[in-house]
Amino acid sequence: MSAILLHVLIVGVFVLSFDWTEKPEVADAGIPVSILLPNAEALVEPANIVDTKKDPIDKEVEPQPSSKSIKAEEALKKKQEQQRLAKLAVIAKQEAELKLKRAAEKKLEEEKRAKQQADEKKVEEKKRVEQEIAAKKLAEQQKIEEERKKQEKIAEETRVAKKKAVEKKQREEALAKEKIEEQKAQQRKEELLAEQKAKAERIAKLKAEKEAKLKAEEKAKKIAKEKKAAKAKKKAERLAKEKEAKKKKEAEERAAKAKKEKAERLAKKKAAEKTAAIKAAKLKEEKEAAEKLAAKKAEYHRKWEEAQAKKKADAIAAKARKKVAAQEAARRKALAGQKEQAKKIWGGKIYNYVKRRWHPPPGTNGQSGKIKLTVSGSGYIAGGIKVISCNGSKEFCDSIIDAFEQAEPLPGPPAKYNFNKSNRTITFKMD
Amino acid sequence: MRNKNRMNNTKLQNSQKRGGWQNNILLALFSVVFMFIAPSAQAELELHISKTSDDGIPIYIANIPAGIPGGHSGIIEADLKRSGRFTIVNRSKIPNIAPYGGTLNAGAYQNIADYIVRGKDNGNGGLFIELVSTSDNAKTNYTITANENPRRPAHKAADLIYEKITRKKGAFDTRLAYVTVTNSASKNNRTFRLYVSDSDGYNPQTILTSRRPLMSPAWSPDGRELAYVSFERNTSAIYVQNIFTGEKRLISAREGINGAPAWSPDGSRIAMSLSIDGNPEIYTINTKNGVLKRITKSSAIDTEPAWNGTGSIIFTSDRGGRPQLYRISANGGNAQRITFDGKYNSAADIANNKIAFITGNRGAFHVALRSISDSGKDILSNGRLDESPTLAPNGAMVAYTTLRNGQNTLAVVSDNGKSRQFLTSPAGGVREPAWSPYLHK
Repeated sequence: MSAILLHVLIVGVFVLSFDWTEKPEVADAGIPVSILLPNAEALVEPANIVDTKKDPIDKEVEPQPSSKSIKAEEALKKKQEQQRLAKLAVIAKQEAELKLKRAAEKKLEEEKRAKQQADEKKVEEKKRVEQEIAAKKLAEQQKIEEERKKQEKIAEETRVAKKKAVEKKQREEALAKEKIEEQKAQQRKEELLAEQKAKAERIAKLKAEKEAKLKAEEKAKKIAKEKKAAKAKKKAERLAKEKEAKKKKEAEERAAKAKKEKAERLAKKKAAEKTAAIKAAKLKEEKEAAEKLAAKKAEYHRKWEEAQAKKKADAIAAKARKKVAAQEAARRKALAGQKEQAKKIWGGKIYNYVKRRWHPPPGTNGQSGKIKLTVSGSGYIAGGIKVISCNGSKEFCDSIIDAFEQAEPLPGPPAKYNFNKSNRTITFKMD
Repeated sequence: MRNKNRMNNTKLQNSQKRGGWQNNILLALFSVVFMFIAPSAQAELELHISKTSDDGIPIYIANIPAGIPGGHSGIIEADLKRSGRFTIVNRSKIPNIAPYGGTLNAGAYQNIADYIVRGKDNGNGGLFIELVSTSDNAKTNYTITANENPRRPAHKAADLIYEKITRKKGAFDTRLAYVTVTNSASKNNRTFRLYVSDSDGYNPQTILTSRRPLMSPAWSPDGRELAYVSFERNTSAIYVQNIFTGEKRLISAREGINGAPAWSPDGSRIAMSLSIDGNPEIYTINTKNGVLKRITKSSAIDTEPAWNGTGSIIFTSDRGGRPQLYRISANGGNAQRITFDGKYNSAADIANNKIAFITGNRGAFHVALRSISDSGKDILSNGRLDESPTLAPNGAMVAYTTLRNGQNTLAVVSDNGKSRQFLTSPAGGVREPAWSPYLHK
């Protein structure tokens, strides 16, 4: 499209580049005109045309002209020729332009057609390429698909084979295992049988050994018993004899010994009685001394205990007394604190009460006064107001007195604490 | 006129005065620790009371309905609060209190209020009032008769309560006179009105209306007449007018200035500022025979006389170069300067041994209060341009004008500076209030 527009633009520029209005009016100008034509071929046809129109002119020249008239005629001819040439040139130019225009149009059309064809071709080419690509793609896809299927088939086959191999292997393993198990069972069975057999043999052997042993033992026992019985019999007889002799000897010895012992006993008894008497006397003395000491000790201990008890009781009593005293002191302190607190509260009440009623005269900044008064239990001022000091004007000092007179009765002291006079005496500094 | 109380100027001892700002700092420091208690239980109690306190005497006013806004109780509460001496206890703190006449155990409320007030309207506009002290249950009963002005019984009740508690006479049942100016920007429509209202600003009554300036109202000692300056003759003149009958008489219309009238406490003379000789001087005129007496003789401006008893006059003079207050005998003689603190002190008003005046400091003008006998002063107001202070007859409150929202408004401050209120007033800028003496009727 842009190419077409470009061509149209070129033709337009070409056409417009001619200034038609400035063309010389050849017929009027009377001057020779030479026309430059872009295409020499364009002049061919008009030249022929000139030739065909030459005849009638020539015929008019036929009468015998004079030299002057010939000159005039020549000039006229020349002029006519020039006019004809100019006309031809114009016609040629027009035709050339027409031709050019047609050529341009044709060219445009051709270009257009060519372009269209090219476009169509391009489209076809594109279409073909696309088809080819699509076919190619399809083929590729088919190929891929086939490949995929092939791969899948291979994979499947591989998988099946693998599976089969595995299964086979498993089966083989199972068989081998079974076989081993069977072998093991057989072996165990055999071993068990051997063991049982050995055991039975061992038991039988043991039984036999035991029986033999028992028999031997019984026999040995029997023999030993018989031996023992004989030996015992012998021993009994010997012992009986020895016993008899011993008994006799002993009886004799005993009689002698008894005699001796009796004598000794008598002597001993006497000595013992003597010693006992001394010992008893000593013991008695000791006992008496011990009893004395014990009594003394007991007395001392008793006294000590009494002293301790007394001390303890005293300590307890002292402690109790101290505790009571401390409690009393605490109570007194608490009471004093409460009283002090009550006094403060009462003082605060009086403070507010008086302050609200005190209106010192104007311009008395810096002036101050100090007064002292005692408040009665009912709140009245007992004994008047004592002015301790006042550095202000009379009006200022009077205003302090006025404030208390206005405030009377003042808030009474708290009855609960039974304030004494000292407690009820207040000093006021007022500034 | 108003100085009926003691006038003993002797001091007990010479005060060791410090500068105002030093005192303020010290007071602030000392007020933190206000109470010292001796450590021993046997030791006597020692209390330190400082002047700085925001508390007033706590008082409970039971509702006393009446056919006026707020009822009688509302008026009593506002009056007592305005004095700066009371703290009004909220009614919700003692709910369901027995009505007037019912049994009341006041001691049970000792921690809430020092006093309980109950009352009832007697049906004819009169009032029964009962004041009970919670400290000793002492009761005081009052019967107040009706008045044409339905607010006055409540003001009278407030006066009685105030007097019972403070032992000073109350000044709530009094009046204020003042001038208003409307359309002040327009010379042709400018209107001056002389009003008289209750002391709380309610019930304003027009005494005089004029297109020409009205100035400086001053009450006669009996509270029946007002002296004022009028320009109705195109020049200043002093008139005296009865506020009930409207009858008026010319006192002075001399050449030059006729201004600042002030009645002597006995009503026999009126002090004023006249410029007969070209220079404003203080004169007195006998109200009975009209005899004029010149009091001051100076080349300076002497004006704004105020009677200090009947024997002396305190006035403003710039004879020292700047306006200051001076004292001179009511018979003339040498004037003594009495203000030395500040470059501007003027417009004195005297009541109950106190002088209220305007003091200027760094371009601001405030109401100050001092004692006649002492030179120290307290600044009471806090506006930028406060003017024309006038003391209540008991000296406990000061009315003045202050610039508020571009217009002069009536305000009242208590002498201890604890209470400040703006009063209601008719339309227009308010000028030169004058507090009446005690009313006798």
